[in-house]
Amino acid sequence: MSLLVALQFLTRLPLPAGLPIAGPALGRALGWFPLVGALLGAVLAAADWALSHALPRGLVDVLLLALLALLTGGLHLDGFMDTCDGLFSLRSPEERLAIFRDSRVGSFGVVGLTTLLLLQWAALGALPSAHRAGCLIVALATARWAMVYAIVAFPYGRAEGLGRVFKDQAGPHALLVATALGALIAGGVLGGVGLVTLALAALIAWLFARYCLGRLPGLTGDTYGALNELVQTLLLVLLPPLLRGQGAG
Amino acid sequence: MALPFFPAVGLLLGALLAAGEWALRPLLAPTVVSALLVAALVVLTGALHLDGLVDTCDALCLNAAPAERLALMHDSRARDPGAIAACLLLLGKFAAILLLPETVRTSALLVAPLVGRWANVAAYWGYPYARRTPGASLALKQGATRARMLAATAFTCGGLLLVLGPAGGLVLLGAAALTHLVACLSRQRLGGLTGDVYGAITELVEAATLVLVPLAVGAYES
Repeated sequence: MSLLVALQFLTRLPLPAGLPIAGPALGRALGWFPLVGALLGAVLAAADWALSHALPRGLVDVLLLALLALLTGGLHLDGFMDTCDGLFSLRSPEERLAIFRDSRVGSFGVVGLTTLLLLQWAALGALPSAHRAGCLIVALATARWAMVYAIVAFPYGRAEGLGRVFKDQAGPHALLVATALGALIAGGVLGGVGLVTLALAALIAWLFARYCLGRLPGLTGDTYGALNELVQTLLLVLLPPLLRGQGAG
Repeated sequence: MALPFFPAVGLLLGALLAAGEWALRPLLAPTVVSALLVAALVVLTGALHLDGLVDTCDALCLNAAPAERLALMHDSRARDPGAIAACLLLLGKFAAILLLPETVRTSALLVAPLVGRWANVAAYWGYPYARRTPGASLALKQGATRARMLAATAFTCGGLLLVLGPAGGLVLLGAAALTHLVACLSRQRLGGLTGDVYGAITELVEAATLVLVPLAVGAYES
């Protein structure tokens, strides 16, 4: 039930019933975030396997990025763009929050998006062939765990909003469940390296949250999405050297 | 009436691309040539169709009634879905051109804009128009007769047959399928097509053709 709520919020997968995004079910849904990430990663891995039979790697990687944007409805990319627009503008914290609400894209958002997608594309192309599926599953699962950590551990910046609803229902219990599930997925798929990615994600989330809190009264739904994109991208970049290190050691 | 000549304009664009590629190849790295060709297409068309893609994605993704979606298309500023689509399309074209196998490089560059403009004509002819307000697109739509569609199709088929042989038929089939898909989505969400949607179709089919040509000929190494 709460897994369905998490799926409905984080993906555009066709689901049976429109569940209300409200109440204690939301708190429990947070615990499932890493599993939703792993599921998205598995869908990408399956598409990767199928498309690689017909198309060269560089093209498959563009299609995977497009598929992920469609599967998530661009939810986190939206947040990343709004966050770039808000955080890089030289305004007061309150004006920055107002920029987050503007549905149009500013210059910083376009620059951020272009840079992010180019980096994601390059990182996908550099993943070791033997571990592509594992890297996709772990990077997406761990990125969604990082959102749960940020939601539970850091103050929220608005009186209302979609993020507020999650924040109000989020307790240490949700983080505990998500961490156990995230460790199970990351460790199960990539072993010791998987657990290292979880620690890295925590570090990235902590640094990013400190940075945001210096510029905003608190975190918002947009910054959660931005964090998801950041962690996902940096893990895709860092996983190949980590896996090589493990192979050598 | 300009519509039947769209594919001819496409072929001219394709010839410019192929000539540019041929001239720059000995001088520059393949990645640079590919990026320059993507830029050349944007500049040569004045980003006309790319703008349509951005507006179309913004409008189709808007959670509102069809009338509000149509109104949003007139907003010249981009939103998140349009920005994401434009970035991915440009990246996709870059990757597609960079990874064109040697054997089909010239022919794919030559026919991609041609097939893209044929899809534009086909969409004008085959699907209802969503607006009633006068404008360039409505004028083109009213002139999209069966005879003009046939003329454009005959020209496109001739070009494809000349450049690719029978495999050109597969490319045209793929282009028609993609056009139909976008047109159906647009009818469902907007009640019809608009000038922006025709542009979006042109961009998507042009990019897809760069991949369909090597696929149809079986040129990608497995």
